[in-house]
Amino acid sequence: MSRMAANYLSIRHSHFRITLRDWFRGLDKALVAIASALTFILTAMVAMAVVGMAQGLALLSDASASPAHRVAVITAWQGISLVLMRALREAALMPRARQFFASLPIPPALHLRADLVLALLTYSFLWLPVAWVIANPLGTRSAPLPTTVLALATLIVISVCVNLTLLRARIRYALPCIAALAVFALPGRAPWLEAVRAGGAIIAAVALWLSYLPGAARAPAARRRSELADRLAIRTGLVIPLLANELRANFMVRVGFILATLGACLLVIELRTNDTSTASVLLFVAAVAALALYSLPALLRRTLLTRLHFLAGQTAFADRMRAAVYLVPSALFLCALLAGWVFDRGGRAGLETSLFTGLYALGVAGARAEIRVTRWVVPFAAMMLLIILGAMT
Amino acid sequence: MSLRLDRVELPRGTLGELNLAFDTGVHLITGPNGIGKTSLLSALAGSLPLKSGRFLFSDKPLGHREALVVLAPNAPPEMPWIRSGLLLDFIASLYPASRRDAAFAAEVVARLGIGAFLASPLGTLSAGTARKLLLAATLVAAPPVMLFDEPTNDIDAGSGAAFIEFVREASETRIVIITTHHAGDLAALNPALHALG
Repeated sequence: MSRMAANYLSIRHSHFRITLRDWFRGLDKALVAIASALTFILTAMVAMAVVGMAQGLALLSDASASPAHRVAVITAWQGISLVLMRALREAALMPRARQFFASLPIPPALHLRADLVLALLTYSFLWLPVAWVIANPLGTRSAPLPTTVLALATLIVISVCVNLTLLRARIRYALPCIAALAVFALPGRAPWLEAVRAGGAIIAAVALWLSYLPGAARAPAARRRSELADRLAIRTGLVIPLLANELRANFMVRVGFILATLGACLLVIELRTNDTSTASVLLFVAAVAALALYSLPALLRRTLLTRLHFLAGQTAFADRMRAAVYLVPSALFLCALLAGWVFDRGGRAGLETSLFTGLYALGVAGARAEIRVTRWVVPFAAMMLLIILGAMT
Repeated sequence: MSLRLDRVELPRGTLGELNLAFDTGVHLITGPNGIGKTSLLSALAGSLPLKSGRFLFSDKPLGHREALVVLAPNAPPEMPWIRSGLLLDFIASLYPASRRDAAFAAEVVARLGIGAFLASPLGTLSAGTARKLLLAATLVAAPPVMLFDEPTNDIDAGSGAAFIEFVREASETRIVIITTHHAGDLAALNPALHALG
């Protein structure tokens, strides 16, 4: 059994490594290009993000923190970690091969161990603010170290439990974990409250363990047939059902990035004490929308042509698919521009719209033609435009 | 109506230059694994570009704008989420000129025994049922050239007999090309045999 353990874990680690390497192929060049061109700006941005997140986490062990701040920090941590794990689910949880591995005599504890290790690896950059709070280099932490470590550990345990149960569709077991997160959000520093929070973390851990035992999975309920949805599916060459099923999470992550950017821009305008009368919301929203959406048409087209290879030569199939493949992401891009425009105060909406629409169109064409450099040229160009136009504000 | 392979060379397999002619009726293509039978059908369906040569349909280059060819592949598409009935309707909808009527579609579905599975996601079907779904879609689409890649693998005897009857009827006015390793199963169709390799 120990040989089996070593093999299963090494398979999961290899899968994690290879999947990430495939995903970041090409993007590594963009990252290197951006990092070398913008070393100082990026260092400042990363430091600001890490310190900001660390200050938020430090509030969890601060007795004077308001209940609203505590809830906001916990919600933000849970939201970011869930989006991060959802984006890397294929690498971290290996869902496609899960059914096959479930049929092998691998003990549940090994599945749990592999998922836990890879989930903690997936948290990646979230460990930076945690380390910052513990190291306390600026001496700003108000609570003693053990209290801070206990608070952070409880939050991490509960959030891992929530994420692993939700992302494996074990809703019955996710509910007690979410309840534990809600209990953790209760304000105050009384000993009984600390005990309740720790109890919540233990309950979440037990729920997570139970979700790995045989028989914990439930078959999904059958979906009802809709005549209208069927007609739409056929007219769009199956693009809509593809987006609603296989690429749903991928699509939601892209839309989530755009919405989060819009939300963050509006929040910054609301909270900043200095002058925000010329804040350019459109600039950031357009940059993120172009980056998030330019590869979607090519992904939709490639997925459909691969899955339905035996119909790939049919002109009727190509014709139907073509319209929806370009229409859906482009409509979404235009909606993002429109939303950014509504809140924009930068005064250069026309210029920014033209530049990022051009970048989006170039990216779509490059991805469609499978030009490999598109994967790093588009992010690099978006970053450069963001910096240059941002500096002009 | 005829289909001709004019100095066709496939990008996969071990076949050299192919010069074959198919007219109305059933044609069985046999040959060892890996020789290029499936590649030939994929090329005919327009999903695999040729290395060289061309296909001629009634002495004109075979194009795919008129939806002349349909292929029933040897494995279901990797779309476990799609409702089986939707996949069937979608494939048939790509052939508006040749598509058979609703009564015929209902008969195919009933005789192949897939009626109970049309509401189920493709991923929940057995290998045989998924194959029968693709056979049904191809029979309902019914363009002038119908291609079947190892159609009788995995399916039960009753469904196999029904399939042979449907193919016999279709082949009276169409070119039906079937690749198989079990030519004996389809002997009742009195097919023309083309042994590759």
